Amino acid sequence: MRGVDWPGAVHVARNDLRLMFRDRGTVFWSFVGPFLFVLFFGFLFRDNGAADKTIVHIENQDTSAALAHAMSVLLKDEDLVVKDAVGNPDSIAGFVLVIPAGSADTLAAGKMPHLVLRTSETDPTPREQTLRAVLIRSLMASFLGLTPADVRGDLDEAAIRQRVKFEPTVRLETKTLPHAGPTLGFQHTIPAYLVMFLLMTLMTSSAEILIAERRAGQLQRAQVSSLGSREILFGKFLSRFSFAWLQIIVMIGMGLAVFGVKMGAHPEALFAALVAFALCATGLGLLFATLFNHSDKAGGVGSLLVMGMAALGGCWWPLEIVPTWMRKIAFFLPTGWGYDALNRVMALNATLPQIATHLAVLLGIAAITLPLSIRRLAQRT
Amino acid sequence: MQAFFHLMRTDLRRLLKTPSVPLLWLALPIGLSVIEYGAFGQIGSTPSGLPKGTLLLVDQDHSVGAGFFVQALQREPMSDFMEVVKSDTTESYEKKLTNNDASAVLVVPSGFQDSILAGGRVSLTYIPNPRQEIRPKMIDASLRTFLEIGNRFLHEARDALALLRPRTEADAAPSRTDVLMMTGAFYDAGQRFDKMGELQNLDIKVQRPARKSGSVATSGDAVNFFAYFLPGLLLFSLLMVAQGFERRQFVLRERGLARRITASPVPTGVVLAAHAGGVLCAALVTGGVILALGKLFFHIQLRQPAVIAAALVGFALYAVGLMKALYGAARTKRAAEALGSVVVLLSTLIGGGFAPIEIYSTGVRPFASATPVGCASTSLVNAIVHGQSFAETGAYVGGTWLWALALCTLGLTLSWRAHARR
Repeated sequence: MRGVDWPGAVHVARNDLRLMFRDRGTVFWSFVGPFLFVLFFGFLFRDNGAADKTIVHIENQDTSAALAHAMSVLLKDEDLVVKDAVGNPDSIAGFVLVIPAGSADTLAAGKMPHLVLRTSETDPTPREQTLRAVLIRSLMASFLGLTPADVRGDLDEAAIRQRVKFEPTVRLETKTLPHAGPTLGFQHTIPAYLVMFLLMTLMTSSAEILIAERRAGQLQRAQVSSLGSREILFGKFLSRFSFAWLQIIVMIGMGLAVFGVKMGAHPEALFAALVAFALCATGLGLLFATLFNHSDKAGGVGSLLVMGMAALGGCWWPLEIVPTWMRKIAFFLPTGWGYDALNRVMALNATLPQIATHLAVLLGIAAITLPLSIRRLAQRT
Repeated sequence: MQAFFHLMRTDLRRLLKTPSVPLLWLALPIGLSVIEYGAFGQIGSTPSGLPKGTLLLVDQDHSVGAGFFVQALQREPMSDFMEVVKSDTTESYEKKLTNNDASAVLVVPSGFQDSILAGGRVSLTYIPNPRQEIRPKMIDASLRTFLEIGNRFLHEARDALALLRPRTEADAAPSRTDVLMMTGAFYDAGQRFDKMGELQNLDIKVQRPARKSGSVATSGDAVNFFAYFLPGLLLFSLLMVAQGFERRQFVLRERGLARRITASPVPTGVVLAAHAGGVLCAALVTGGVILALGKLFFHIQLRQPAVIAAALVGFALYAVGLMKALYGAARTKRAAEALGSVVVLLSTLIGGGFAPIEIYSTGVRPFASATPVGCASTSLVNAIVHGQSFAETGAYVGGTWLWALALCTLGLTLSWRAHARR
């Protein structure tokens, strides 16, 4: 940056930052709004972990307790919380396994009893699907393992296990890839809303300020002073890039201090991803500001674009639940690349080479948008 | 009355002079609707009612037995829960998982078939995608059930297989006694398989709460999950439209238009009512357009139209009153916008504007449903999704109207004061 009057550029940047901080709306949407979004959606979609075990109430309508007892033992072995349905079973919220009358006789006759899973949910849920698979396994084990004499007798837990369990030929061993933690709750919302609100500020509030200055002729007036257009344009870039970093520091600090979010094992990769995304967002914000003559329109279109890009880029909901074609769209957007890079670093402990493509794309966008926006801004002032 | 209609018409005409503004107000809910429909519109169309996962299968054995195993996974009922994609063993499955190309990986090790025939144990390796939460668990549960059944078959046939095994390795032909023993063992296994044949009747029926009236909103045979999201988007749009109108009005007030109108013989009440009427009209048109688009393009049935209309008008009045109150109380445009943003964001977040209240925890739901957005969104979800009548969801519609009356009174009072100031 030879030939740039640094104190002049810093003066422009400081003035812009002052304007941004004076606008309560900008401050709210840059720091308070993200906190509220992170808090709300983080709690709504948080991972409850092992503490949140599935609870099943067993309602035994049969005269024999054998099948209910066997199911209870097997379900407990599958790490479920099993309770007896006491009182009015219809009033129990959650899952109730109903063992109909005559089930033991049906089982003794070599026929499959028809158990019912009652749920308070009106639509299928992943938890219900998983529970149903466990119930089917346990019912099958009871059906094949228990003899007619067993279902009419009174077996203890050890005897039930002895009857129904056997050494499987084919086992399923779960191997976990090294990662920092689940990408749910705050581990998702911190990087997701960092990406969204950083872009939102740069494409709405800061773009509005620039357009208002241009319309009021303030930029032209500034050129008459000792500051050259180079200093002004560099100052504009510096203010937006600095503001982006303030947002990053607040969001990351909030994630670490308030929500206990893991930042991954490679701080250099996290730093690189944040720098690349901040540059990309600054470039996009500056270029966007040159496309409009009215600040209100820029604000409206900016909000719409950022919300659309955030939703498509995986910032609103995990991309695992959307169709494949939508997952592909995410990688045509800066939000998709930005969120994916941060998610890999923070949740999967990705190293710098592992996010090299992401960095190249984000820096590539910055390399196109920054010179273009500076050129357009220079032309229009 | 003439003055009322004249002022209202002028307001709307002024708005239509810049058509990009109303188009932008409509673009936000429509754009987000398209995205949300793309994301959630197909949920419920699978046999399990949930999105299918992709299982990347790495076959390192390449035997006939492993081939049978893979084919079984690709057939029903397993194909209802997952899509099996075979992978070249030289490819890095870790990379595929981190790229989100699959929900999980299943590795069939080399020696799979030989181990089974030799009566030995064999372990399949299951690697869930750490970036996904729901699908890997569903695939894991389905796979374990599938293997349980397979293992039961192998367990019942273990004696027969044990007799068969040495014969496959022997050079000489089996003797009469060997053949008789083997056929006897397979006969016994067949007798036990008779009981296993009953496994085709293995099922756990799921019983759900009976719906009080109508059935859940569907698109074809599938539950239309997007119907849960449309009301939130609709309410958010009404708030945006009302805020947009009030912002324009504030600018005109700053430019001295209000002062000029004050100088005319039109009473203050008529001026304020005309403006509120204009905002109400614009909000209702926006609401109508969004609902019509939902019906036409996203196949959402607009059941209980009376409930929908009552909730829509009530909420539109609330939005008008809220913005009148905020902009009437504010001294500067900047302060009004900052306060408006906070109120819109918080009320929409809590009231189920961005995510349906039905997915909130049970402790939060009553509080969320009592807020203005909560009352309106619950009324609309109950009408559109559950087909509930006025009698069933009337409390929420009533709540919406109570909020509307309170905010309209406050808004008009504060606007009157602001108008009188000028």
